[in-house]
Amino acid sequence: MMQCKQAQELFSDYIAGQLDPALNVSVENHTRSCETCGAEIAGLRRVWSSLDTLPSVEPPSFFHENLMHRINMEMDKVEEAAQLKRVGWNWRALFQPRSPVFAAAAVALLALVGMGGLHVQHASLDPLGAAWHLLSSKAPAGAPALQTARAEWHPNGQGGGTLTLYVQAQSGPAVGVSALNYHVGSHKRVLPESDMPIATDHETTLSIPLDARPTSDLTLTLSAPGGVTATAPVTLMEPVSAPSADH
Amino acid sequence: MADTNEKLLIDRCKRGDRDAFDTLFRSYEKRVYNLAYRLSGNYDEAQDISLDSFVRVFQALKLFRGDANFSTWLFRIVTNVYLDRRKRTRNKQHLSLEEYIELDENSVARQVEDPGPTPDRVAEGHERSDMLQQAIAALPDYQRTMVILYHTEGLSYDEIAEVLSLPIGTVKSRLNRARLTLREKLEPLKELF
Repeated sequence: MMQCKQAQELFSDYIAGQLDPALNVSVENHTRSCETCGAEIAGLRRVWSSLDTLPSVEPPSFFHENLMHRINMEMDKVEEAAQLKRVGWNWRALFQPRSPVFAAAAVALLALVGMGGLHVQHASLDPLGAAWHLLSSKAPAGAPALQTARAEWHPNGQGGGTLTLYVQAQSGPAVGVSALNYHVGSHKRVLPESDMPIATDHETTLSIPLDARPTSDLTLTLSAPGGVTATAPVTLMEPVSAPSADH
Repeated sequence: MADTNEKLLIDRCKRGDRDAFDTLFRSYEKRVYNLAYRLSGNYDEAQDISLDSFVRVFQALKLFRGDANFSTWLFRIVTNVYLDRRKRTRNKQHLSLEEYIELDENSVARQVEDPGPTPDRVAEGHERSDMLQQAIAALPDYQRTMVILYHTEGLSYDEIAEVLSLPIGTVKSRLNRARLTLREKLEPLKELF
């Protein structure tokens, strides 16, 4: 004979008609003989039908215009960046005294002059070499990179749990997570993700259910347009607060 | 929109075709706005979530390989934008209606437009859906998201599992729990349902 708790776990599948015939008969018999479960399933049918008929709401006037205005601004930025990349270096911007490029060039020039001064005093210091090292140590153009990355483990009490990743991409090309790499003991695990985009202006939270706690730090495989990929390490930390009951 | 047509449209978007973005986004904006409204329970916030989601789709579209349905990928982005905002604004102070704004010479009370339904409209028959919306809003984030994706967006269990990166069994059990919770919350108002 089916118990109330067991029947309740099957109520949704019963209403949706997704139970196999034998279980369907068991739930039906139980709800006929148990007054509480009978009332519960009647209430659940009412709620279900109300949920299915929730009225839809219309987007506000000019929503589409506002949206396309923002998209057009984003497209303009992309096109400007592509144009700059094609030209290689915007020499004209150097001679626009109010432009940020002019300001940056002026600061760089002052810095080089300052380092050049040091060069006079310390023959071993090479200002151009130092500047070149700074420029060349940056990530290659177009390679995806992260500003911040950390992970927390929220156990579910059954050996597994949820891995919550907090990541923020560096500004530049769009960055997505295409795989998560970690170890459980000596076993290497790779979990393909479906290229979830990561925001550049704030941390993006990604929750990934796993059947075992990773025993190593994690490595994310990042992807950018044009098939450019890179990896980024993520430190696994214990959560600062207790996980919510829903997780 | 047929899948093939949508794929062609997405390819045009990836090449930077503004008209293609216009068409693609127009075809989804009502569904996205509805999802955002049902998740946040607030018209203003729904607009912000929808706009931010579409901008994020624009920025990341080149990463979309088409392994999943575009709608599933889009809903995953909307859900993430909503969850991110909720995390960031959880402790944010609300705007005070008592606040006065300094203009040139005079100070005036802040006028805040309420874009939600007026009391008259509520009295005209929106009571039931309002009660339901309130009960949905009281559910934990993940349960609320699942209820909305299933019942108002018509996604299957498989698609919800993909949107939320959860195993299908977890989706089924949490949805069942969410519906039972809703029934319990709405039981005292059952004459309305």
